[in-house]
Parts: sequence; C-alpha cells; structure tokens
Amino acid sequence: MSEKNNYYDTKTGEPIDLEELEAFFKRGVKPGDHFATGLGIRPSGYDNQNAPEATAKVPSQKPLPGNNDPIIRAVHLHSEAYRRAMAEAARQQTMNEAAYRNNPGTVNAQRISNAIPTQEAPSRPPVSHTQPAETQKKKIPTNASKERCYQEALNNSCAKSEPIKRNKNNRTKVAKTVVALAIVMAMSIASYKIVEKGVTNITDDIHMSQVSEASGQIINGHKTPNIVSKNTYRTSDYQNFYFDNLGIAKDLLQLPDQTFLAALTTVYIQMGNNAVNSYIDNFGRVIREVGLLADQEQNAFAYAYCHDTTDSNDFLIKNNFVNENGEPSFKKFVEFGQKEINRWYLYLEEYASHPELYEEEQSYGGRK
Amino acid sequence: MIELEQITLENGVTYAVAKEIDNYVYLVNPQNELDFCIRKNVARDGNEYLESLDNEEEFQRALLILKESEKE
Repeated sequence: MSEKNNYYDTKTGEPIDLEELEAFFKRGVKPGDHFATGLGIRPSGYDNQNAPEATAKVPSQKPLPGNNDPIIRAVHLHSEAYRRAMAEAARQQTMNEAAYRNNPGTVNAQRISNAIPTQEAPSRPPVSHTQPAETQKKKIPTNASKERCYQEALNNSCAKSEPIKRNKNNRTKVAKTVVALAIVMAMSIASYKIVEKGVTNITDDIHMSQVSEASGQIINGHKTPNIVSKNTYRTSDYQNFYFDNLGIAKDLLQLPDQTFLAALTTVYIQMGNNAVNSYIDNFGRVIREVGLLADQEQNAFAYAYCHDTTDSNDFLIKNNFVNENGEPSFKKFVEFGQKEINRWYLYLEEYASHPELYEEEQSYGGRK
Repeated sequence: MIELEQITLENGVTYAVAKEIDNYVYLVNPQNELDFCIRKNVARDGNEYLESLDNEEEFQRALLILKESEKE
C-alpha cells in the first residue's frame, strides 16, 4: 500500500491502494464494465463495527474542477472512458447496420460486418454480469431478429445463381433438434411476417371490399360472415339444421371469379367438418347448383370447374382430383385449393398494405 | 442424429435438406438453426437441380406451404 486512506473494499474490508485503482481506470473500460470491487468510503469518525457502508456511486455530472480527491478523479476517469467506449460501440453498430443495409444478406456484407473490429476487452477476466454465449444462443427470437432472419433467408433463397445439381448420396448427420428448431423458426417467421400482418392489416378500403369478402372465406370468416354459416338454417323444431345449397352457390358466384376455387375449398372444409351432415353430399349439391347457374362469360372459373357435374365424385373426376388409383380424392382437391388459398392470402396481404395497387391492377384486367 | 442430404450453396455455406414439399426444398444450416433457405427442385435431363426462388412472393408462398404442412 502506498498511502493510508479511508477507502476500503466493502466486500473484503481491505483498504484500497489508490494508485492501483487509478491505474486500473486509466487502462480503459468497455461498455457494461463496472467497479469490480465494492468500493466504499469510510466517513469521518468511522466505527469499524457499527458504521453503515457507504458505497461510491458514479456521478453523471462533471466533477468539480480542481478536485484532488483521488476517488473523484478515478470515478471521473471511469465515466469518461465509459462514455468513449459507448460512443465507439454505437459508431460500430451504425457501421454494421449500414453495411448490412447496403448489401443485405450477402457474403460481402457479412464479411464487412465481421471485419469491423469489436471493442477490445481489457486484460482481465470478463465481468460476471455478461450473459454466457450459450444462453444468448437459446434466447427467444425477438421481432427484430425475426425480421433479420427473414431478410437473410429471403436473400439466400432468391439469390441469383446457377442451378445446383443435387447428389442425394451426399449426406451428413444433423442433430434432430437443429432441424426442428429451424423448421419452428421458419414457421414463426411465416406467422410473424405473413399471417399476423395479413389479418391485422386488412383495410376497409372500398376497392378492397370484394377481395376482402373472398378473403373472409379464405381466412375462415374472421373478417366477413362466411358463406356457409350465412346459409345454414335450423329446422322449425330446432332439432336439426340444413344448408341452403342454392344460396351457397349464388353467394359463391358473386365473389370475384378468380377467387372461386379458393372460396369453394373453404366451403368444402366448412361443410365437410360438420359431422352431422357429413354423410349427405351437400357439397356435391352446391357444385351442381353452381354448374347450373354459372355463366361462361361472367364466371369462367366456376363454369370450367362445375358445368355439367352431377355430384362430388363427378366433380373430382372431371377436374382430375384423383389419387394414384384414379379414384376421386377430396384430399387432392383440398391440397390444390389450399395453394389457391395461400395465393389469395398473399394477394390480400399485398393489397391491404397498398390498396392503390389493386385499382391500378384492375385497370389492366386484374390478377388471373 | 438424423442423416440428411447436404448441399453447398453458391455462398459457400453447406445446408442440409430438412423437408421437401411439392417442389420446394427447405434447407437448414446444421451449424446455425436460425439460418435457413428455400429453393425449388427442378428435374432436367434425368438430373435434379436446386434453383433460386423467383421473388419474395414465391418465398412467402413457400413459407405458408411449410406452415400449413406442419399444421397437418
């Protein structure tokens, strides 16, 4: 110890060597560092047994000019170094973001990002409050990190490149958890980026009304009353209910023509889910009504799919929704319809964000 | 551990084929579960190739197809 003083470590009770303390602060600190020891100041008349501890605090203001107190000087050095380190970290963060923005997701951007030197840690063990790398890795992704993952995956997926020949014999062993986590992450991004945004951003724009109605079917009637429930009635004794098949067919034909197959699929899903009536071919009756009512000019899709059909099986066979054995397959129909639903779901999402584009597209004949 | 087909993309990163739905191939980076990629499978001259997706719309469609398949 170079000099006797009133400063001591509150953890160990040992006096602090002020020269060492000042030298420590002069070496520099990085963001997140704090006093490694519990620094305390003995008040005058210090009672070693009963006096309460007074822990030194970092002042946010500038120290008084000409203050020769070594602790104040040390604290001032610490806070100055801390501010410098924070400014440097912010500058690096800005540069990283700029590099990523200019060239997102590319190898070069990653290299630029990696090439920027990080704050050098002082030559002492890392402070205990920093989170271990393993814990950080398993942190739940935030919206910001989902956005970043989305952008990187998008850039990787749409990167302009030559087709890569597959070699199915070239195999590697992968932990099941990694695959599962990646799939969950992709689904999570799909929910965050597409589904939730699509549902919550639906506008009431008048130009969107028709699309919204069709999409109301697509999103299982979350936004608009769906055709099936609108055309479902109770019998007079309230013991049973029935579908107004003609009403369903008429409502289907009032939707935009291109959305027909997507809407028809949701009608099937909703009617088929009804266990009470599942043994009756209600869907086939709807198809038949549609086939009778559809106008070749106004409802080209409905006409093409349903004209001259007698029942469900006839509809499935005529439109080639058959399994490997050539038997009619509702599964094939739903798979195909689901793709249409996804297409319209994206359509809705796109035009909910930019309704003016819908009008512009309609002037060119609309989306087919 | 499971054995999967591996493919090295043009950026030098090796991915494993986690799933194939319709023509879409879902690739994951075994070193980083947050790094995934979607490509489409194209058969040509008796060989199979992985091609990039056309645009963001197709990427979102592929994501939705994955989501729907996992629901089932």
